[in-house]
Parts: sequence; C-alpha cells; structure tokens
Amino acid sequence: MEIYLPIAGLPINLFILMSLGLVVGFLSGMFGVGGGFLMTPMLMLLGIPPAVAVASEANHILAASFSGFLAHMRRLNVDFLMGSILLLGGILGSILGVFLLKYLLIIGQEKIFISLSYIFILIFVGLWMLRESVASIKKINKGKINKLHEHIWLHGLPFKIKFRKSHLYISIIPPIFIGFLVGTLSSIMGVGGGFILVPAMIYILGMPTQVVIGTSLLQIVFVTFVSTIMHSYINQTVDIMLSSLLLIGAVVGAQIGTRVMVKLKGEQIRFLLAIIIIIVAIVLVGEIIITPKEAFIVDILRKNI
Amino acid sequence: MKPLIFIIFIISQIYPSQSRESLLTDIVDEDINITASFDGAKIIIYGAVDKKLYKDTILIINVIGPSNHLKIRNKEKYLGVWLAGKDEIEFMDAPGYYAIATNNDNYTNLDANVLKNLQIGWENLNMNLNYSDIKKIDSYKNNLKIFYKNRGLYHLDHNIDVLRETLFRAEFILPPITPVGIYTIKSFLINNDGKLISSWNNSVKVSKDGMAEDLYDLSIEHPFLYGLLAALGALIAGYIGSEIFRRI
Repeated sequence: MEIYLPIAGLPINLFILMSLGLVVGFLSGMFGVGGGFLMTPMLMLLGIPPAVAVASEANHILAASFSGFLAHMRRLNVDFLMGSILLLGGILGSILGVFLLKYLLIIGQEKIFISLSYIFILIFVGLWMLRESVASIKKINKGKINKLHEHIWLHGLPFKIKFRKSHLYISIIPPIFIGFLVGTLSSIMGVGGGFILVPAMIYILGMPTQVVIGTSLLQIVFVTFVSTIMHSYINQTVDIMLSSLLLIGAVVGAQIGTRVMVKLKGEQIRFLLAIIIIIVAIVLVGEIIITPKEAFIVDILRKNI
Repeated sequence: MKPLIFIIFIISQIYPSQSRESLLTDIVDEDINITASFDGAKIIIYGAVDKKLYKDTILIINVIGPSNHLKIRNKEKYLGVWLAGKDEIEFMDAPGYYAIATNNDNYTNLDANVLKNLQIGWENLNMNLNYSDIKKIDSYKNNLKIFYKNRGLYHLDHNIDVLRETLFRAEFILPPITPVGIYTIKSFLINNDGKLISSWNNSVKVSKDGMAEDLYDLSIEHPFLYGLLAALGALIAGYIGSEIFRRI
C-alpha cells in the first residue's frame, strides 16, 4: 500500500517504511544507539529529500529518546545539572544547524553536504566498530582494567562547578562545547548524537558510566525538541507522517531488539552492524559520483493561486 | 449520469439547428477529490464536433495544471562529485501538470506560428520567463519536461476515443502527486491548413482530502504550530512507548 508523505511530496510503500522502522528500531534496541545515523541515509536512498529526511528523523528520535529517558529517570540515572550545562551548548548548536541547513537549501547544496557528512561519519563509525568487534572476538574473556577518573587539563578551565550526581568538580566549558558540537550535528544530520556524546562524556568529562546514558538522553530529548520546532518553523521540512510511521515500526523493533540482545553475542552482531554501516557509506558514495538520472534540481518557490 | 445528459444535450444542439459552436466539451466530474491512499485520479472529458467538420480536422485537447513559480538549477560535476551548479533559471508561471490528447498525431506538422499562438505543446507554453537566451530557456524547459515525465505529470500518450463519428471521449491520468487547484482544459478544432475553426474551455477543480493535505497546509500556513505539534506528538508517543515497555 502506498502512502503519501505530504512534506517529502512523494508516495512511498507503507510496508517498506514500516520494515525500515522495524529494522532500525531492532538495531537500536540491540546496541542502545539511537539509529538516526542509519535511518537518515536509508531515507535518503529511498528518495526522500535529504533536508526532509534529516528533519523528520530528528522528530522520530525525539520520541524514541524521550521514551528511553523516562526509563532512566525512574532509575534516577540522570545528572540534571550536567544535562542542563550540556543543553546550553546543545540548543545553541541545534539552532546554528537549522540556519546552516537553511543556507544550504538556499544555495542548493544541502544534498551533497548531508551526503558527505554521512559518508565521513559512517566510514569512521563503521571502521571503528569493525576494529573493535574483531579485537573483542579475538580476545574474548580477557578482562579489561577499569580506569579511575583521570583529571585532565580541560577540567581545570575557569567556571568550575560541582556535579554531585557525577562526582565531579570541573569547568563548565568542556560540557558546553561538547553539547554545542553534538547539537549542531544533530540538526544538520538528523542524528541524536549519542554515539559521540556517550564516549565524550565517559572519556573527556570522566562521568561515571551509569549516569551517562540517562544524561545523554536528556540532552538528546531537548536538542531534538528544539530542532523539530526550528526545522518546521524555518525550513518546513518535518514530515509528521513519515516520522510517526517510522516510530510505529521502531517501537516494536526496539522491543524485539532488546530481547534478542540478551541471547546473542555482542561482538558478532557489532561486526555485522559495522559491515552494514560500511555498505551504506559505499552506496552513498555511489549516489554522489554516478551521473544522476536528472542532472538538475527543481524547486517550487511559490504556488500561484 | 451527467455525461449522458450532456451528450443528449449536445446532439440536440448540433443536429437540428446550425449552431454557431462547432465544438463542445464537458467534464464528467468537475470536482475531483483525491484521498490519502489513492492511485491517482482521472479527468474524463466528453465532447462533440459539428458533423460536417469532423473529417479533415484535427482535434487537440490540452490539460494545464495549476501553475507554480519554479527555480531550476543544473547539476555539475566537480572533483568527481555531482553538485548543484551556478546556472539557474526561474519560471514564474510553469504549469504543475500538462497533457495533450489528440485524434491526429500529425498536429505537430501544423504551422509553428499557429501552435505558438494557441500555446499548443509544451514548447509553446508561455511560462513567463524573463530571459532573452532562447537556447537556455529551451534547455531548461526540456529539463522540466523530463522532471514531470518521470513523475507522471506530463503526458502525450492520451488518445481521443471516437465514440460515434461526432462524439468523442478522452481520459487524462492524474498521478497521486498531482498539484491541487484549478486545471484548465483547452480544446481546439483546427483544419489541416492550420486554421482554427473552434475552441472550447473547461475547468476542473482538483482537491486533496485527508490528513496528508491538512498536514501540508498547516506546515506552510502555521509552521511554528506545526513544529510544536510535531514535537509534542513525539513526546506523547515516547511516553506511551515507555509505558508499554514498562508493562510488557
């Protein structure tokens, strides 16, 4: 059954869309990643305009991350103070991202910009996961030594604050900067940014692992909330039909994913995911170098009544 | 049952008296409503021509969709990668749909000036361009034609079915993405020497119903409200999701 996506301006097969939501939801349930970095390029490959894919995916992530955030909040795994500081940067970053996308839409280069950003990130993430999964398949059962919190020079910058929940006394400059970077990325690429935020919070800020996921979800919820509204207001690129259809598949997929995760070996699935990510990156490279079927872009500036 | 009534009307008009009109057409459904899950729609036209004139004439029906202000840009290859190029053009008045049906495909051999004056054929449509470079205009017009063709918004393949020697019927297929608004249907009866014998205009209103169209309107007319709705909707969906997660 075909369903018409009003903002993307094209009909799409309902079954394909729901299965895509299901598969990406499954992966995100299994790996605890938002899945935006996989969903957005897949939407682009389905022919949805990149700017619409990005903005609608931000809307989809908002729902998914809010659901996860509530679960973590019940377990009190959220550092609200750290979350607010990250957000200060995050919201500014997401607003910058929306205006950057507006500029790219005006000059007509949004497709290439979004594609290139994805190619870089997917290849980077894919190769990193591949290396990591191969390494852990090789040395299974070798215990890893947990490092204690190390104080690095970044923490000593001015405006130091005490973060009780995270047991930290550090400057607010690094979290603002990290929040800003992830916020920008989030609104120009339609990702939650968890895959950057989580390692940054652990390795750069030195936060304890148990509060990291909940706090990063807090940041993602607010940033995608702001970018959903801003994308709608400034660029009119959020397709509610698209994001809600993806959501239905994703909620079910995430449930299954969470259950399957318990039964399978993580390294092997991470290896598989890494391969999928690299394949998507290669297809995206093909998309930008192969001569397009239509070597032109048509923009409707105004409908004459 | 409108066409039947109309056909009878036409016959009664044309046969007994020498009506001034040599060509008459009517639309089966002047209010076409497309709903959310659809396979598109059809514009169906019935008409009649004066019996004496039927032979040795060419009948051409043009369907012209609501117009848009468009910008078209060329893509260029730069460092091995396809980018939006600098070359661009604006069409102030480009129809969002265009189709032609005829009983004689040789109409293209008619005097070019006649076709141009009557704006018959994609190349002859006046799209209100403010450019002097004819070559550039033609190349972009052709690109737009390809764009529409790929999306089912441009058709030359429709035929006029002759029901009886003076009565005819034509169908035009509208794809799901066809724009909403007033479609103008211009019918021409031209003799083989290129002289216009008669013409007739109809119009059809195409509207889309259902949630998709309401969402589109809201996103354009009240973008902030739409964004707020999208964001709050996502929060509610997330909340419901987390409640379900908790219980299962």
